[in-house]
Amino acid sequence: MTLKSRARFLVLPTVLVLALIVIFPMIFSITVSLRDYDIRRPEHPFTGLKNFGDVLTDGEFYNAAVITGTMMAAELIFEFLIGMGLALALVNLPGARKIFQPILLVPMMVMPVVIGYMGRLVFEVRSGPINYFLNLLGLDSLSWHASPQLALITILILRIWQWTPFVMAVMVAGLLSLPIEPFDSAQVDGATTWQIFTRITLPMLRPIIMLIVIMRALEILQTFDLIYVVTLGGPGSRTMTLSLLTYLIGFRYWNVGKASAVAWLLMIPLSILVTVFVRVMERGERVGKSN
Amino acid sequence: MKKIVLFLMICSLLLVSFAVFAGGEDEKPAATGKPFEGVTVTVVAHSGHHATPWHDETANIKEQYGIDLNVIEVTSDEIYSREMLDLTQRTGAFDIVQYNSAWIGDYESYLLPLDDYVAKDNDAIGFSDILPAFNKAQNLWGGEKYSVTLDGDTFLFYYRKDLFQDAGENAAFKAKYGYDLPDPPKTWKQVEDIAQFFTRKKGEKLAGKTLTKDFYGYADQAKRGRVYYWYTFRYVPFSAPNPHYFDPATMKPLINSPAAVEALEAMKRIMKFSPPGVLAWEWDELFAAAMNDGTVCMWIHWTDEGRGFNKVAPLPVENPPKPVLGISATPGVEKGGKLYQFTIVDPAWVASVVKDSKNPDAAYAVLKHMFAPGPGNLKYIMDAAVGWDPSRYSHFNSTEWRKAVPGIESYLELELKALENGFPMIKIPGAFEYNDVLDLTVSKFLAGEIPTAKAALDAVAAKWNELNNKFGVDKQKGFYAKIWQ
Repeated sequence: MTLKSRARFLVLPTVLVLALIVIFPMIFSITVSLRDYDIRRPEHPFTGLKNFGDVLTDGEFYNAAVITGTMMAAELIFEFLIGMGLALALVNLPGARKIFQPILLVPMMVMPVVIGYMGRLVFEVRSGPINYFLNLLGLDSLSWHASPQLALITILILRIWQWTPFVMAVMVAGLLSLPIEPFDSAQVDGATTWQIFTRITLPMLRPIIMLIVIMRALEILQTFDLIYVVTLGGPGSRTMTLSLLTYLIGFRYWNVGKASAVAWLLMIPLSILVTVFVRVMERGERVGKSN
Repeated sequence: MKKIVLFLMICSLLLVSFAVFAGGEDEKPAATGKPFEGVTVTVVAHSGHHATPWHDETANIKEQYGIDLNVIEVTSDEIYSREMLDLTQRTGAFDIVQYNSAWIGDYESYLLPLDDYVAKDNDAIGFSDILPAFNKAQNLWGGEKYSVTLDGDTFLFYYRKDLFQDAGENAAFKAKYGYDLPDPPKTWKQVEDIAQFFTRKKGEKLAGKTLTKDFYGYADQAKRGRVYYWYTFRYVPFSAPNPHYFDPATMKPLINSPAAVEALEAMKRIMKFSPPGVLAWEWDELFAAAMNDGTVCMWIHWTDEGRGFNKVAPLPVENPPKPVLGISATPGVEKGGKLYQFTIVDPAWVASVVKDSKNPDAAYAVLKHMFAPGPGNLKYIMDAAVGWDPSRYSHFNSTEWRKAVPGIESYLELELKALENGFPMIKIPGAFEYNDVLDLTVSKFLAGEIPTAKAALDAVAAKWNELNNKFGVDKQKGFYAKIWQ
């Protein structure tokens, strides 16, 4: 046996395992998406692209897509801005970092389901502490997750509270890894703090920022548990995300074919994000090696 | 020395003989008369408090039958998915399933009817002891006994009787609405008037005293997920005299009939007199506001409040009167001078033997042990922490319960009476989807996403028609007929 064929032989088990756990489920999922697949019925007739057509003509799908998109835009902007602000504060106050960084990371470590139940209590209209403080300030109570207008904002507050620490932690690591020389040179040349931040810090953090954006975007696309607990997509369908819709179609209505079609349609933005993520990581590696 | 050796020899002989006889006792399982020695029965139960009796009886079941009871707990959110996956794959891993009887249409072909067992042992499990409302709405399916009621869940109307007894409020109500404050309210029209009348702000007077908190006339549990129940409480009486979810002859949905639209409009109208935030209220929020906070005048809920009638909080006024909880059947509708009142029977929870069970006889023995009338079952029903509500005449007429909780008879007798007009919920294949479509659409209407009740219910009817076509209209017609047989 040649060295090359021996290498192929050694790689074969891994390929087989991968085929079993990745490729087979994917093929099965495509097959299911092309059938009228309800596990309660013995037959699953082939229906072609009907499930995809049903999804694309379903108002609930577009509503969920808009809500998921809104969540993504709002979360990315607020988590980035707050996370960056906190990271800069912690990096510039090394003494405070030791104390506050672990505390600030706590929300990220709590299970979303727990945060959901906690959120229901905290934002409870009549007995929740948030409205209590609003009343102390002379403001009226708000209906928060019970209000069709505020439900999504309530969910966003909870999620931004949970995930900003992640952005902050990665950003702190990024800031601490930056070389000091460009900053020294800029100061010698008389650059202002704002100029240093916008022209040196941000460009040098670009790979880190891309990493954060892509990782957060992937997680936001899969938002499920917190919403399931707090609103179950309601009031009405004001907080229905694509993940929750897929779950309801697949595991509540047993329309597994349609749920698979939604999942495949969700795969399009996910694949684009993953491709960008890999490209960015590769570029980061190349930059690292050239340095 | 010889004496010591002799003494040791005698001691050794005694020890050996003890050991032999003791061992002999243990090695005679057949002589114990346990009919299912060594058999394991696996039960899937609603997790948490509902599973407690199964766990508590494990040792007794082992002792009496030789059965090892394996209890698998699954949350109520997941129990349908988990059981359906197992049943449809016919693994035989579960012997007994606890489930919501609304799912019987989906479960039917995987469950064992219990009629043969009942005939053989002369109804030892006591179907004749179960109230007809529960047998009809939960256990019978096409005339066959498929399950045994585990939790006699139903819905009752609760109100602040202490407030209704106030002479000043009675006079003011009559002056405003032109009729006596009804105690209890019997129609939805009366409930709406009373809700409007009693909704008052902090600082205003209630029963002649100053309110320390805002007080609300009526509240529903209106969070997306179970709000369809609260619509059904209206839909059924509004559809009197002959309420139906579908036309039994054609399976045409009746959910968008003029009466149904009227019911949904009434539901939204009364929200004006509800606490802010009811659109996010689940069980806990309604129970806490009504029972612990005392800030709701009327509401409909499961029987938990009735069982805990003596724990209702005082009215939120200075020097409140002694709190009294009123209990009644859910409101009805008056048509042509006749009052139509129904008590919706929650299809949850029941237990059945799985057809693919390897030990169906042992599984039935377990069911019999758990649910046959007698003190063994009654103790779990009396324990409010377990969450199994009364379902049998032996529960409702229990002298032990009356002795243990003075005053409980008012709740027991009222529920017994209310259940004379028990009405089932939808129980056909896909019941979950039918209800969830209704739930989502009612939630959208209440949240203002759909402008009119008619548009909302037309959308539900269209989806229900789609579901009928998916499952087969003729098949669904057959299943629907089984509810009423």
